[in-house]
Amino acid sequence: MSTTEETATIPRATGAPTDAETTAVLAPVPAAATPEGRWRPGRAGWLARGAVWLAVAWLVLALPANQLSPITIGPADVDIASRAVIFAIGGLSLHVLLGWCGQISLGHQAFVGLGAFTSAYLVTDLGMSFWFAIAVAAGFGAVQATLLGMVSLRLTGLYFALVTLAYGAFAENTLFGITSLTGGEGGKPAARPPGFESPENYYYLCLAFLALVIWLDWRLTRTKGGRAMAALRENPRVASAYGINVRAYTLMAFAVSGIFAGIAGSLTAHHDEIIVKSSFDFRLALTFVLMTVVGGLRSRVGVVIGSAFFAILEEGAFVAMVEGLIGGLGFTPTFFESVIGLPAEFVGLVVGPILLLLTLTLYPGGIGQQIAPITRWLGGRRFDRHAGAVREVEVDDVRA
Amino acid sequence: MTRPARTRTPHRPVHLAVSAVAVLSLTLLGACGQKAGVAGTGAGSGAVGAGVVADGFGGGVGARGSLGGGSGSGSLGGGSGSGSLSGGGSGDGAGGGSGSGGSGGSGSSGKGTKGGSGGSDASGTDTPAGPGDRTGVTDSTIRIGIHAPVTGAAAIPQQSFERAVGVYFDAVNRAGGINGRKVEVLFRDDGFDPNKARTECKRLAEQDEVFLLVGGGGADQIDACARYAASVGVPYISGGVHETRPGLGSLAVDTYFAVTLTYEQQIPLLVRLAKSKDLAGEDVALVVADNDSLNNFYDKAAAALGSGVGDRLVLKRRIPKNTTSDAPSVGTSICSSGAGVVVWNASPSTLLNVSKAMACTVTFIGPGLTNGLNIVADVGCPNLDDALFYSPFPGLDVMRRDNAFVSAYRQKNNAEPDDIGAAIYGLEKLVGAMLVATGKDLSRESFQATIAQRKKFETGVFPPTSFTSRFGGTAMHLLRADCGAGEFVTVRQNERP
Amino acid sequence: MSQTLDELGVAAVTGTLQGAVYALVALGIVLVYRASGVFNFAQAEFGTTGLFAAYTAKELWGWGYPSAFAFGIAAAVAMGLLTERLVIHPLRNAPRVTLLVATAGVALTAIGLQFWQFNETLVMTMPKIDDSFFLVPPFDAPVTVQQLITFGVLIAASVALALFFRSPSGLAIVAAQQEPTAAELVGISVRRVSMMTWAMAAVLGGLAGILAGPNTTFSAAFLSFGGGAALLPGFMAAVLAGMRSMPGAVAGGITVGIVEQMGTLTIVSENVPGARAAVLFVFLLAVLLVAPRGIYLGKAAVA
Repeated sequence: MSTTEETATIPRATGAPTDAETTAVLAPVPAAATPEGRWRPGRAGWLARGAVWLAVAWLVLALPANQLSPITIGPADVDIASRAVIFAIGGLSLHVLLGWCGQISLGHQAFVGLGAFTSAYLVTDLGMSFWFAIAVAAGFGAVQATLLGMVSLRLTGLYFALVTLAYGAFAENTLFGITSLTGGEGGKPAARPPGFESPENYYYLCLAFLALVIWLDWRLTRTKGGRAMAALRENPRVASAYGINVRAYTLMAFAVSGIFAGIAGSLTAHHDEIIVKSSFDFRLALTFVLMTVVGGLRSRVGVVIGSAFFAILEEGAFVAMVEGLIGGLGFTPTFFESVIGLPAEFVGLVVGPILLLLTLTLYPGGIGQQIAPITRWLGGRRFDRHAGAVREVEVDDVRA
Repeated sequence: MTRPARTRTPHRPVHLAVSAVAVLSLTLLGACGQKAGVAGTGAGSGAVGAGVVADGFGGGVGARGSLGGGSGSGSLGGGSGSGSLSGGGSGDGAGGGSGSGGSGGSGSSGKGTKGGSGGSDASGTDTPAGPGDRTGVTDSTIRIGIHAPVTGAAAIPQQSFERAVGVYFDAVNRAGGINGRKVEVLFRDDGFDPNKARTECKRLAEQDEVFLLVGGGGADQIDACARYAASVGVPYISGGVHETRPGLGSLAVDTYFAVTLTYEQQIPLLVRLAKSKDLAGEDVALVVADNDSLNNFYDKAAAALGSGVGDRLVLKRRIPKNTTSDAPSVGTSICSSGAGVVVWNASPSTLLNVSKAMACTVTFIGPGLTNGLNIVADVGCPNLDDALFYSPFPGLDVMRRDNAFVSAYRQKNNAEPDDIGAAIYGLEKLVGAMLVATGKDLSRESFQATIAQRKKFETGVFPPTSFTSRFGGTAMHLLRADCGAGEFVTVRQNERP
Repeated sequence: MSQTLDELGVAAVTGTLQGAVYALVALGIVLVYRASGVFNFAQAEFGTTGLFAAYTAKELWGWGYPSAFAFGIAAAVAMGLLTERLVIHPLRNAPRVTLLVATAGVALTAIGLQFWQFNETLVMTMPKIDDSFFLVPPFDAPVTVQQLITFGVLIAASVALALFFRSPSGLAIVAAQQEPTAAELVGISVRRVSMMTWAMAAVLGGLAGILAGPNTTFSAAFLSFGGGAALLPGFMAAVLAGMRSMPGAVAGGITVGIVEQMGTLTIVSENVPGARAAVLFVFLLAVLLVAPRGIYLGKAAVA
């Protein structure tokens, strides 16, 4: 019997014989190092995690800026890295609406574009400093988004999607067509802030803003506001029955989304150093949707990775990297073109939507779901292959 | 009210860490200081072109001392350049990006370009005369970069461009190169988007380190690239497009050379054509796209036509840039005005749509560049029969008799040449002539100085040039759409305004 | 002022004819929505696919017009069925916004393929069924026979749909939409009904594309965002019909066509940049905020 060992360790009261019937002494529970269910990695586990963290940090911080790096990345490619970071900010912006609030925006490029032109106008025409301009751009983005948010309160999700679609076209053609403000087809110049002209420094600037945005997003969801929004998303009626102010929180979410979009827009303008309105067309709108959905609607990290991926895909750098890799392995370098017959320029156009369809039908959690085991492992948990499984995209629409 | 159960937020450590990492990055920024930036165009830019004759180029060619200087941040003069780009709504203020004020460095008199007031004018200091900026040039190669619209809204098939680029230089390299150097051509698609064009030009200049940049087509893209190239001191060559645009100012920026007539310069040709024997009796309409780059052309053309044909000018209007569903109303307004001749300056696809939607038949005439492409004739017939467009290159009927061209094209592509091939061939041949003329001592300064001094380059494909200003064209060829042949045929060559 | 009046007249005529295309698209949208509650973002791409297929058959393979036309419709139907099988059916229990995004993905895939396959021939045109056109007095509005044919097809399609919904198959569709379980119990195959719906919507979209394409040059994404841009106007027409009424979709399409042409009036287009997009946006906003249930409801008003 298993209890014999435990009784052997019970300190006996001196002199008093133990009597199994009179005293039912429970075996002392071995002192638990952790509360029930909380598992901590061992030393090797910490080392492994630390090493991966370092690698990630190196990949994000050092490699694109040619610090501590065995390979040198050219300036145009560092610019692509900055662009990927900016896309990540944009993706997080749409993610606030789509992932946290369940509202779909098919005209999100308009928010970004407004931020971009605002910033460019302030810096170029009014001579303001970049820091002021980006703050104003964020503010304008918030205002614009809130206005649309007020419209969304009157409409159901699908009709609102239509409105955003029309708004995107309206913004691109009419708002950005006001030549005196936006510079017409020649575009609007937008100088980089002093000290950040070089590609590497601008990259760090964008990274800093991304960190800011992630932090704000995280605070948003951790707070009462965030929980309120989650409740809103699931069922607005129940939420309002709990006393949650549906209007206020919806508008707040829109405002935050607008702020992020404005930041992304301003960074874009100064990244490109000249912006034209035709950059903010329907293709960009759909790219936003693509990267947010494929990134994963519940996962910030997934959205960041998905956005970066799509940015790199759009710039053709992804194709270049893949072909470089394949060439390095000894296969024919123009892989896409010669094997599949798909010219490099169109890889993004075809691969993107297919990924979207795969995500929606087979892997609803997107990239976030796929990497959830890794992110949880990095967060100090046990490696679990089935972590993060999402059975369906939980973007809800109550009335339609 | 019960609090909702505390959900695990597994992302929390991840995001804390990302924030920490970001803070770290900010400190790295401060600590590591500025990276040396891109080699090449920054270095050695102090050279002030010795003995540069000022001749309307203003401070352009010589005073690039600003590049290496002021901006210690290792950026490519971005500090100074961007300042002056934003010359800020002042008239046609911001001429060149590189802050070479009119009161330029050494030896440059003349005020060809109005230096933007915002620009830094480090031109005061006389940087030591070095060997010159030889980015992209080695003892055995010269590297040049060409950008052109392959994808995007331009009506030019992708394969055509890819086949056309490098035909001339391949032939030159087979014959031994230019002054002993082989020419390497890098080509990038600018997607018919000025933003992307600038990005690609930046990549060509800063990452691929080309010696000079060439623009294949597309006015907005050429504009964007030219201004960028000027800000970093890279010579930029393209066919003539517009001369100025509101907000950004004149296109006659430092380092830019337009090798054929600009739209504005072709106005006298068009007026003469509208008054010519065949079209003399007809009423005239002026239809121009509403790109702001065409504002100047529109104003001048309206004035010139008004005084040239008087009452016969019955319609002048701007039309939306991308018009497919507006095409019927544009066509209607042309027909109801009674015009028989339409002076047209808008995109080829608009031309096709409007001509198809018209109830009446008119003769379209217009300036070059892209409306004289064969694809327009191919698709636009029969509505476009007898349309007359100016072009920098002769029609294929003439080019097919150019054996050097045909054999070079066949050798590279194993196919018969098309008109895009002719266009790029002509452009490359002209650039080649300029490179040859510069001689063995090839640097960016000497290249531009040679163009400024010699002025005239004749290649037999493009009309001869005369660089008394940055817009160096002298004449254009006149092409007519022949619906029987399905392509444009040459009417006359080298017609001067 | 008289110029504006003239232009108004022309706008009315052109708008009505252009609206026929929008109405065809709207019919498809309403059909899909009534059957499965899905906002079909790919409706216009059915049209572009059909158009490109017809173009390939006619211009590249040299078929005759009727066979090329039929080929185009067949290609559109194939796309519709594929969409239903691979995308709609697996997501049948998903929330509607997911399905919207999914159909957007289908549209984007089609657009990507069009770019890829047809980038060489950047300017594509197809001959009209009949090239003649005439000017309608008193405003001299240009009317092409092609547009009249389109209008005729619209009428024919509407009548056919009306008759269809009285037939057993049509009633089956309605039943399956109202009560899928009950319908299954009565022996209606919901799967088959779904496929039929999407095939019909694809036919309608294909008709819109093949009939509208020859009016101008076209390229990839023609009917969605390109020159033909019928997706947003089609949706607006469907909104006017309350997403329910077929006759309402026709009326709605014509209305949207006329409203859109208001953006081409000189006084508007000279003062407002991008006038057409502005007009459409303002109109959509107005309709959705004032009468979200639709205007042309007809018999479907009791919903």
